[in-house]
Amino acid sequence: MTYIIASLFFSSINLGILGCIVLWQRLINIGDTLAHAIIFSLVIEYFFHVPLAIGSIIVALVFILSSSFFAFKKSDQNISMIVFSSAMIALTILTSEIVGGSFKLKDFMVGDILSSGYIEVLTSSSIGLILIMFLHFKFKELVLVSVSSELASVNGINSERIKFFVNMILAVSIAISIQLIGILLMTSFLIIPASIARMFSKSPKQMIFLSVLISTLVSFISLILSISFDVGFSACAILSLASLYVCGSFMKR
Amino acid sequence: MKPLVELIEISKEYEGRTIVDGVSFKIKPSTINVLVGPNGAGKSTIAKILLGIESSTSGKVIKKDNLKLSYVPQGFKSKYEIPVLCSDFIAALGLNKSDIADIVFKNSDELDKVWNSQLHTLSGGYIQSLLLAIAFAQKPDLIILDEPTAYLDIDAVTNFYKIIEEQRKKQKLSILIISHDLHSVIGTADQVLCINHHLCCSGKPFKALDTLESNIGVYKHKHDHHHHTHL
Repeated sequence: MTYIIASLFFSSINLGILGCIVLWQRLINIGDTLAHAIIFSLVIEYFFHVPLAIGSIIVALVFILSSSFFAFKKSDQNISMIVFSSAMIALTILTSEIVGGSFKLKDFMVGDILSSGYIEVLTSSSIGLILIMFLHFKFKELVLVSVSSELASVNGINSERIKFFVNMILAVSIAISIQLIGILLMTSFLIIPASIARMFSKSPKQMIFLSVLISTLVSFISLILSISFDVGFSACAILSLASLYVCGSFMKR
Repeated sequence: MKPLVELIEISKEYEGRTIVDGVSFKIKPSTINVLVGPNGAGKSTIAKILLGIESSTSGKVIKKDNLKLSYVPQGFKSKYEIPVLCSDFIAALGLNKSDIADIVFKNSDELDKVWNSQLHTLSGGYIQSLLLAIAFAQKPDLIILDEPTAYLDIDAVTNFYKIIEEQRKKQKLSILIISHDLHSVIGTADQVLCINHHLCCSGKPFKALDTLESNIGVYKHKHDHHHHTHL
């Protein structure tokens, strides 16, 4: 239980922060395709006996690097991500059929909070620490790059480096959180807290604070609901977030 | 006098198309330079190569050591997704309220209104004014303004040119204005460069609207071919 609570706590903080950055830089497509591509880690686990958490990180990083590489070759990064993501899902389904359907596909789709272990806690807490350090030292640069990468570049900021760092951190965070939340609901978990926070924020710092608060509170309320009623954690979390989003929208009308 | 920037035979190709073809020119200190040309002529690409935002396919950009540049992009619009107060945006650029006062916003109420607004809620005119004030407040050697008068009426254009001239004299900086208006340019320009992928001609404008107490000048093109628009 300690691992579950710790892992959920750090993942909520990471996703709360990253959700804001994803919104600011309009990276929703990266979050979505990355979450889908990570399913390929089941193949790596099956053939090479690599733990799922490590396999997910490897797949996520390779996915980000390869889609960036093809974007550098002037093809649209969004399209290359959709192509890679779909190919990885197809390969996983085919491999699963060939080896007799022994992959835990359902757990990966909707998440399994009981899968949290030492590796997840260590990785998510490390990512949290890196994110907080990044915000502390590079916050102004991040805001300027998000407002206008051209203006940021003219003012001496290496926009590409900031974007690359954000993508890598996003990849590792999603890879770790996906086992708790699941592929289907990952993007919602990333985007909804930040979107609710946006409605009530007047500054980027305020938005991050609110997003982390919403993400963490909803996670723990959903954990309690999930244990009390023996229902899926991620479904409870997304329904709670969706309700908050609807209430927020009404309040801001 | 040593130029601030020298572009030597700059070319840029994109997906097999030549956007800029062997363009060379110099920008001297404390001068006003205007880059005119039709839409799609490669003006903004030249500016971005000069700024280092884009790289050229061939050619060379020689800049003075420690050259400080400022830039006002064309049609800047902040996103809704990031809530940024103008005051925070200005602070992120290392400036404060007094730095941008008295440059563009002559009226303190107008400055206060902008200062306390969310960046994404500002109108096009206010955004342009804010970016211009920031560009001058950064005390650069060279400011690049991409289509700064695109959405301004004639009075606003005259006022804008007045501010440009005032700041040029005060700060002794150089200015590069990019404009698709082929004939109407700032009257005090030291150099007008006509671009249509390549450098068609260059020269000085002549004052045509003195009677209207205007800063607007007319540039007479010295080449015998038409500007082609690329749609």
